[in-house]
Amino acid sequence: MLNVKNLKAKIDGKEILKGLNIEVKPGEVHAIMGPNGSGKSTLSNVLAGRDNYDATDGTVMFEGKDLLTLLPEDRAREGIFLAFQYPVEIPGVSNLEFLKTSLECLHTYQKKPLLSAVEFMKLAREKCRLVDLDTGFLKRGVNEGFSGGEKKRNEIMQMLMLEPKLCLLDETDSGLDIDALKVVADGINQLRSPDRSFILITHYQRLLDYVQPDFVHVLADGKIIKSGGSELALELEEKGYSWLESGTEQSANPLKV
Amino acid sequence: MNNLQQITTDFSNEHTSQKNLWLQGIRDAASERLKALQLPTQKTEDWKYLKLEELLADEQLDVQSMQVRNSKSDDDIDELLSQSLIKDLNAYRLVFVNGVFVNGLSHLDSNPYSTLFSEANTAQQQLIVDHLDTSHNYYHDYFSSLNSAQLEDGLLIHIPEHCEVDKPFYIVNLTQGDQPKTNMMRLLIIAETGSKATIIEHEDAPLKHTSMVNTVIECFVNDKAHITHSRLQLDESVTSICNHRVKQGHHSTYQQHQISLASKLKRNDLTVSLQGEYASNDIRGSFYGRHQQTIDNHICMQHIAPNCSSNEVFRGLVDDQANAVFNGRIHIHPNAQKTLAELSNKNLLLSSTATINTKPELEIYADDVRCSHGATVGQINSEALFYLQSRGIPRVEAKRLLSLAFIAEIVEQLPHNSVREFVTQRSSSLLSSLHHEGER
Ligand SMILES: Nc1ncnc2c1ncn2[C@@H]1O[C@H](COP(=O)(O)OP(=O)(O)OP(=O)(O)O)[C@@H](O)[C@H]1O
Ligand SMILES: [Mg+2]
Repeated sequence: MLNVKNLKAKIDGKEILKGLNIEVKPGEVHAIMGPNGSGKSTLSNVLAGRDNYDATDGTVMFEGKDLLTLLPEDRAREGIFLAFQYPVEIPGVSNLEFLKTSLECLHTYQKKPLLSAVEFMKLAREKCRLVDLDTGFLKRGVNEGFSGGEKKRNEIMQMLMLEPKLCLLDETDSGLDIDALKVVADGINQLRSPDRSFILITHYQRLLDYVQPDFVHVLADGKIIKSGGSELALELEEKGYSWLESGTEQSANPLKV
Repeated sequence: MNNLQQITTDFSNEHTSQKNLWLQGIRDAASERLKALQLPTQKTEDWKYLKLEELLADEQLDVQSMQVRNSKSDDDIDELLSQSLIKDLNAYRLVFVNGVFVNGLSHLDSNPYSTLFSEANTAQQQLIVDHLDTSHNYYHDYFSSLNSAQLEDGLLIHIPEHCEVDKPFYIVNLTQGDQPKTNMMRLLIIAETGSKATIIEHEDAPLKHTSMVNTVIECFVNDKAHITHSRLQLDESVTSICNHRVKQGHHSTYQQHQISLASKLKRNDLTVSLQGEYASNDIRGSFYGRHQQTIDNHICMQHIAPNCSSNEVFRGLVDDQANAVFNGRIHIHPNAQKTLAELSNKNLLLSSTATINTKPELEIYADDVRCSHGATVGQINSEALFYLQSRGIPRVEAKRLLSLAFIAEIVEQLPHNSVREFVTQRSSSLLSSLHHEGER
């Protein structure tokens, strides 16, 4: 589904990703962990197509298409979804209007039948309930005045509405109380299917207790320096990252080129 | 020599109207003022951002005075009206097409508050003469003097003491067919003590026909009167110069909304005089310019009496090579203690070639006042843009949503649901047509 090879990327001329490799097959859940500032959000932004995040080398193939040549909106229409680490507040654009426009854009592109106004409202209300957001949120501006946890739940709500193929969740579990973490995890588990994949960027084992990853990767200084199964996350929780960083040169990572 | 200047010199002898002789005093006084005035140039402080002579060079400035037509209009105009009017607005409708009052399309008979100057009775004539050109005496403006000097007719709205008008006045000014002459529009609103009314003005040119309009609006909001006045300037093809003056008595309120589309030239001068204590004035405006359009807003808030408040909130959207000006002046006179005056103008530049000149000006001669002002010029928030795009919304559509969001705060304040919906719908379709193909 997603194949990232030797990806290098710069922000404002500064190299952040320094030859990153990762392959995600349909139905898989990958967790990416790593120290602050190592480039995790940069990776998710490059995949989603943000301006000023320039891929300078390497390739990113998504379902056989060269992702890097696509506009952000077209990547979304192809089925990529990024749950932002810091969801943006957009006063003046209501959640409802935003979701409706977004869904219409995706469905038109994917040649799916458009929902009627009634069907849409029903769907939106249902998804709100799933993530425990009061339906009153739909009338408010996008993320406007939402608490940190509400913003994260709103990202999951959008993911449930849009039913993407590849979900990138950038620290969606950060800043959540225990109940909200459960809500987010349930949202993810509900969407899990043999042809849908997830990349979960996280700092904590907690989320992975609810959503069992197939692979865990450690991203440090712009590269994946170690990959393993779900047990790697437990090991990291216990030992931190320092034992790995000292050994970056040893080629313990089978994915490293 | 510009056409306009030509008129100024000529008309005092030839152009003088024989109609409505009781207005002759007004015309003569204005002609006298005009002798000392000239077409403003960039050297005139209040006009310095406009190349006026250039902008008006092609205009045929022969004057078409206001007129009346009693017959029902032809089919064309009916068609035009049906597609351009605000639907579901229960109102006293007053329709002008190319400056001609169309009786057949207006509700003048059932409307006891309005009359055309030409149809005014003796008492009304006296009222008109007593009020015209008295709303403002700080400076004499060229275009409004021109309007007065050529005054033949006008519309009076007179709301008696303590009268609460049951429905809004809906004044429609349509341009149909390219108009070679300048239309003179004159509106006089007198709200007597304790009265209350809503006025909705709607200027439109649905078929993009061109014309030039020179408008003067005077509003007398007497003690404890409450007026809501919305002006929708949706005529992108019309060159327009408008002088709007408001004079307020004590404990009166005047709430204005202004939605303006720029055109080749659109100039709005608004002067408010807060003459009585505890008067309050609230203006919400938004303007939008594109292509090579020009819009210039000059607002002057005169705080004369103590304990008055004013609040001005303006949002500007400027695209392509359009040129916008916002000049908001707050003048607090020595006697106006305990004034509360606020002014905010935020602008969004939608292209790197658009220009906006925004300038708040404060003149404060009283010491116990609270006054705040701010002006900003920014671009579309790139984070918000990316967020919308990342949800599959094309960049152009995302820009449209964000532009609408920027003026939402203004549009939401409009009176009447149907007016809000109408404006939202119009701005929405306008903004979706503007971002040119291939622009990324
Ligand atoms: N506009 C920018 N200009 C220069 N450097 C930047 C810019 N934006 C981000 N960076 C740098 O890129 C590096 C990677 O940032 P990134 O946000 O990808 O880290 P992260 O792994 O997501 O960290 P965290 O765990 O704290 O979220 C950081 O050192 C950051 O300071
Ligand atoms: Mg991050």
